[in-house]
Amino acid sequence: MKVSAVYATELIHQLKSGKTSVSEIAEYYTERIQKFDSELGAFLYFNPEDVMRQASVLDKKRASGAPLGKLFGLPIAIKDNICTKGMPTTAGSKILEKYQPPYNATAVEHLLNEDALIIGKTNLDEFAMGSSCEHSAFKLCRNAYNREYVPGGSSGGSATAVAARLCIAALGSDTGGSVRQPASFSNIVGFKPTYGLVSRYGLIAFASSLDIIGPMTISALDAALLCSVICKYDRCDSTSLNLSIDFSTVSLNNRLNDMRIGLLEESLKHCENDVADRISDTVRTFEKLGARIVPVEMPILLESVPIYYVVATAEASANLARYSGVIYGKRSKSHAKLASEMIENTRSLFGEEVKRRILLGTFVLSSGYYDSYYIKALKCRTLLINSFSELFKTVDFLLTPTSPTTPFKIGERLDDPIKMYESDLLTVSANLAGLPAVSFPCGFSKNGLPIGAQIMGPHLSDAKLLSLVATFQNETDFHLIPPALS
Amino acid sequence: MADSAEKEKLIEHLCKLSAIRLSSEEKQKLASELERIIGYVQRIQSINTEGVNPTRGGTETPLELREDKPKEPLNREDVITTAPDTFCDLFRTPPILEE
Repeated sequence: MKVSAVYATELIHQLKSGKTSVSEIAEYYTERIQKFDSELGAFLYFNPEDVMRQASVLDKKRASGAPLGKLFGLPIAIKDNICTKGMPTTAGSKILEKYQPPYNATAVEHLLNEDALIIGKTNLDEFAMGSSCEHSAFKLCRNAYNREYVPGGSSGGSATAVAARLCIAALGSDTGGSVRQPASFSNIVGFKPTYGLVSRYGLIAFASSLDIIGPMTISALDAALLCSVICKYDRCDSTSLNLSIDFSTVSLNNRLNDMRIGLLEESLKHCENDVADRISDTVRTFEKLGARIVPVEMPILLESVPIYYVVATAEASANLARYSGVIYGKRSKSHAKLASEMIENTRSLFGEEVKRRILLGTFVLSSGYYDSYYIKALKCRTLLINSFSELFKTVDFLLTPTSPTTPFKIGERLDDPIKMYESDLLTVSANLAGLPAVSFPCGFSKNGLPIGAQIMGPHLSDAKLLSLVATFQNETDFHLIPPALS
Repeated sequence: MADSAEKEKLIEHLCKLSAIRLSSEEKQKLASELERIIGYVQRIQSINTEGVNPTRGGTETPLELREDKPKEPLNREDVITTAPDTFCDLFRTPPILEE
């Protein structure tokens, strides 16, 4: 069977009308995964029997005449740091190698309540710490558009799975750009909602004041469909926002009159030429649609990577203290006479990047350095937040590239952590300020690698942000250019 | 950061605080990387934050307390099966104190 639907919003009609059965769709995607994923490495867990079992349950539901959920039968992949009951959840780490959570993350529970089909768990940098997916403890994940290149990270597996059409949509998580940067590298849409709109319950914690789950899709309208399901208040997450955004209002507008989009021109100076050129094209498209492009300055945004690496690693060092080998996960096999020895043995299972970040986080929180690093960074965070508030008095949205570079080659940045961290130059500020931000395809480099543009907006402007991208995508077709797989 | 003895002392201190054991090879590599990274994040010192309050959380919205009513807990058996080592239905570890 051939599936012609590109978008979730299209496929859902075929599924709901009964034109296609869920089993047929499940078979189609299973075949694709079996054919392509051994080389791409997008999935850490994929079980065809389980997929077919879920499909048959859903087909029976339709046959019974019961009302069908909003996501009925849509094959959705889940980043492997989001808990799924009955499926492994490793966070890409040896320390959780055989872990099967006894509960679903709230976001997964919402997907299942709307009859989604969970097709598998996707590859990532260990504990979502990385910008290339090369820090996965299990296997390499490759860029669907060129296998010698990284897919971006940390949600690289979800990005490759969506780009290669191994699923119709995926969930990722974004702490400093982990949904947006791989979306940019893989020619898809990656959306980071306003902090608190998606419950963190069941998302394996990295940096709790920055973490959020977000959709990765081909279109902004598909992202809105997923958001309408996962963005809900949850009593299990104390930072969950008790309000709702109406994502059904997300639609394409024919004109963007009166819209003021700030362009951070300074950011282009930090970018490769191809990236800067595609952003200039994006500006022209928005102007053609009637938007007003306003050059803006925001010096602190370009200082945000060091601020981020202090805040994020401090929180990570505290969050990862729970991996002691006592309650869950793996315990090192080496014999330990004392619990303290067992804890150290177990923590040796952390990969190098995770150790690096725990040590840095421990340093910035330790006595003698706490005020001058950690508190200092939190003050800088306030300045960044204030700076955004000022900015959004004069413009409605802010446009930047998502990443200063096109995808880089596998191995190229592995020995240079700082260079790797700087991949996050333009994404981390949205997390530090809790703002919604989206990356969307805006063209290709001369050597055929995808380039993404990013738009950030004020708190809770999520639906407007997605409408803006939907309008852009109605005018362009970059997102419809699939990778050549063989 | 100053000389290598001081660097080593710092990394050993951090390892102790975070319960991470490193081989001497790893220690050397991580010490020099950390020195570079600390030098890099040091850039925040040049930002003027006089009179600025720190932002400690991810949201300015006041946090909501949920109703103080117990919810159905996770199933005990399901939880205990995720443990690396158990005794009856308890978590088991090596002794905390030396005999």
